[in-house]
Amino acid sequence: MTTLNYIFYYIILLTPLFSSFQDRFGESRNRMVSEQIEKRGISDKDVLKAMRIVKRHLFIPQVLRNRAYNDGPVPIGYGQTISQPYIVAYMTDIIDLKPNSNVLEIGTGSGYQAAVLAEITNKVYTIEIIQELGEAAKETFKDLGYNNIESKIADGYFGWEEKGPFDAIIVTAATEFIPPPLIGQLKPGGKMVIPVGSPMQVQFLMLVEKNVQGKVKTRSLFPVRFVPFTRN
Amino acid sequence: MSGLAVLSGAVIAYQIILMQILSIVQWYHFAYMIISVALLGFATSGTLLTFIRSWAVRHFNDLIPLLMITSGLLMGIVVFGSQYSGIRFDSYLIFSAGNQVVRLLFTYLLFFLPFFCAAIVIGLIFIREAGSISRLYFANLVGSGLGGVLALALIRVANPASLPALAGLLAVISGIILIRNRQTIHKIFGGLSVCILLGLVFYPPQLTPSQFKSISKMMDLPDSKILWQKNNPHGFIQLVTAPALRYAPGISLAFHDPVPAVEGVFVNGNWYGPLMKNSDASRKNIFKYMVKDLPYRISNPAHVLALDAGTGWDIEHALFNGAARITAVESHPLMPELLEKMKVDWLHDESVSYIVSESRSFLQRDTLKYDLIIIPTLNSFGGNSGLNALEEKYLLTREAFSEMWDKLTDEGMLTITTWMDYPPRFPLKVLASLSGMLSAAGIENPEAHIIAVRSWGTITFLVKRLPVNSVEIQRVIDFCNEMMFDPALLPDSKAGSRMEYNMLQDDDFFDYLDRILSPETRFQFLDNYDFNIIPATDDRPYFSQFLKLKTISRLTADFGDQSLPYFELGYLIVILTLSQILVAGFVLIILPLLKIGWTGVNRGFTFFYFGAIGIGYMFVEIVLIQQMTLYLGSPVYAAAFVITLLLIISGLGSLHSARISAKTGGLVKVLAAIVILLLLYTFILDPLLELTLTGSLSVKLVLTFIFIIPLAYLMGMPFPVAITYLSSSSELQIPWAWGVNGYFSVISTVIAIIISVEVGYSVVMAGAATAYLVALIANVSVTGFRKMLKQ
Repeated sequence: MTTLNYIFYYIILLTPLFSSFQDRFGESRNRMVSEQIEKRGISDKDVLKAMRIVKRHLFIPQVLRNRAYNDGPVPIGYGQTISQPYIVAYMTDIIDLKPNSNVLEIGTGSGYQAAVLAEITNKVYTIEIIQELGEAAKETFKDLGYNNIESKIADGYFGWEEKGPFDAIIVTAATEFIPPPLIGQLKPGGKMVIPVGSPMQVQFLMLVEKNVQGKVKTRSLFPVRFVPFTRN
Repeated sequence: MSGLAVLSGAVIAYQIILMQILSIVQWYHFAYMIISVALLGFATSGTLLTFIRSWAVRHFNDLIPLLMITSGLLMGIVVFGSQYSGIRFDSYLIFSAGNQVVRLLFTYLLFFLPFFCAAIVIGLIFIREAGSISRLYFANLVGSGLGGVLALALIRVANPASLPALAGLLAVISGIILIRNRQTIHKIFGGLSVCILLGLVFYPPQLTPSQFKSISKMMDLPDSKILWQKNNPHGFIQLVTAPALRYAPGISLAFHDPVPAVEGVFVNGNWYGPLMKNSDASRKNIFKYMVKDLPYRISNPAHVLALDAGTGWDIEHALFNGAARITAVESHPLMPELLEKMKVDWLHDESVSYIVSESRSFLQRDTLKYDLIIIPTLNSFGGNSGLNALEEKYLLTREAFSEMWDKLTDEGMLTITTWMDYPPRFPLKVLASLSGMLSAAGIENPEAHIIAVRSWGTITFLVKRLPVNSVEIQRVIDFCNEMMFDPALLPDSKAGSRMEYNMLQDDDFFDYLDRILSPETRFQFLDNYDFNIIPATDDRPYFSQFLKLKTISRLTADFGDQSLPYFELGYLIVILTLSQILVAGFVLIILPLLKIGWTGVNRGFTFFYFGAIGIGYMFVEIVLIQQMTLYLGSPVYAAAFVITLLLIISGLGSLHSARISAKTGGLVKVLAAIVILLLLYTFILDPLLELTLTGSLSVKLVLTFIFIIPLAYLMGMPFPVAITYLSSSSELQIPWAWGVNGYFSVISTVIAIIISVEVGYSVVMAGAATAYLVALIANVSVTGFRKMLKQ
């Protein structure tokens, strides 16, 4: 056996090992989907598939990757977090994405939410105000081949007018008010979703719906049904 | 003696400075951690001294200045060591990232070191000069008392980052004074230390607040910059500008104009309020679109009282609505200077009186009546993970609400707004407090007096002295329809109209509101609810504390094993602190000393006696700070005043204690007097303070002296008298006594807070009386009843 053959042999031998090392989190991810997401009532196949495909750990700082598939948010620096997996799935589920939906995300953060959206729809626009986070996410999208995500670093308050109107808007950056320009860029019949809750806290969702007449209503959606003792 | 006093002063000053720095980089409740760490340092020094006693006494002259200088140097440098990125911990992440607990422990260790060095000096002096313990303890206590005053003075004049080195310089100088001529190395070390500390005073490294603090998030925005900053014992105030900062909390979805940009004011790194950049009327148009506009939609209040007015948002709102007279009360003394600097136009408006005072204190002494009283918005968008759970809020207690009710004119209104949260806590506690206020005022039909209107994010409650009439009800409905808000509580409202524009998943929230409002179901509901939503009181002034220990298992079952810290970090961190110091203290103090200390005669006496007086003293100190905060009106100065007075008077008591013997029964009398006084204070101090609450500050200060002096004087005696007794009967037990006293002091500071949260401060005072009673029994066991009776 020549040296070249040896090298070739070992490459063939080690490839499965290498690929399993590359996605050593695959089992954790499947467990995350079945135990944290499906069990809590999310059944949309596209959402579940996207949550299974996107490698959440690759959007998380190296030192915290072992917590990537835990049932909670994970800090990513700059006072920002990557939301609890269930919240990401719930937000994605609630906006009823179709493959041709035009989606805007305010607050790219790590880029994880945008990647999940990009597994379902053809085009995702995302805006991040913190330069360092925006640049890092752009790099991650490029590395992972998400060519259908377009990102920019800007103040999300103004939305992305030239790319609108949008079928859905996800505002992942905490905000004390719903920016009027974003309501303006939402299509009639469109949905905007905002997770409410400080970083590292139990969050609930605020859904803003614009009906076909352009009238806007909000709906608070709680991820867990809280039934205190007093009901008994 | 003077060196001892100066070092003691430096230690207390450093402790107060650390508390402020931790408030800036982390959160307020780390004050408990600092007190614990300081005391742990003191207690652990007892352990070391036990083992190196004879060696240390032999090298006394070398060790004392060396350790004093080391302690001072460490004071200056450990703060910045704790800020190093590889060590810095973040309280937000403490339960979610494993390495944060290690970082917290490392931070403990760093802060522990200067206290430990200083404590060895003090302990060694006490051991070598046990015969003069009364005078030495006097110097220690008086020095400590003056150190507290010094810290407040330093905080006023220096940047927070320079303060640790300033306190350190004091300790170094106390050491340098004691260096003898031939101690060249000491001199070099002292000189170098002075140079390093001076460098840190004039070129201090930057303090890095937690990435989750509002100031950090603000500074992450593009083009943000600090325009102005100044320090004060009330907090480090900063004015920050960023083009992307806009402020319109919970604004109506009917608002289509641009949201105005503002500048942000932060105190200790926490959001304090917005400053509108100019008085352009169109920018103020947003007031009309906020739920907080409710009182102005149903009435035209002429005289408005804005409590905790801060940067003046509620003042501008009242002016916008044409209020003829506005009284605004703000506690931060630097706020007028900031407003003046920013040329805020309403500051010199003759219809506005901007008064610097604690709001609660103002309510107690003010005699005017108001058409509208405004309490600032509670909680924040999305909450703050319960980090403020242990912040005393005397403006939101049952007693404060009753005082506000009494200050309303016949047609007056009280309004309070809070962010919606999930599971619901803040809005429910607000309603419980308001309902309680109405019940206390003898109103039998509270539902006729309360309105609540909800936007997508906030809910505004309005209480009227007169029942809400049909015209007002119609105005509320019109307001809701115009602004896309929903009435949550409205007399004669139909349930269906509560979710016209802003829907909830179900109507549970409204069911909870109705149950609280009804006197028949209120108490059962409050008792059974999974969170603590019983109104806060002056005895348990923790409005933002919601976690109930007994429902923790149920919450984790509902929300997941990892969810608990996300509900209320503040309280959990205090419990974590207690568990850490219980273990650390046991390992560092009790275990090593047990073999040596738990031998010979009177071993039980030493353990129970010194443990009990450690608990008793700290419990009394904490309760007195709480009571005087309310009485004197300023938490910072009340704490400084109580600590200083307590320590100095205890020092005088210690000085006098040389004439008292533990053997003859004199100490029993002292302890009995303390127990009687504490029991008396448990029952009569609160009513006495309440009676004189409206008096002038000078009268109140005199009364405070009268209340504290006898107790503090007596409390200064038990420690030195018993040390003198041990020095003659079982000298080896002195370090054990010092360690036991320190250990129980350490844990009692945190235990006192947990008791006050669970059952109230009055129980802490009763606990102090019990502790001194245990000390008395321990002493009687030594003295013997016969001897005592003979006396």
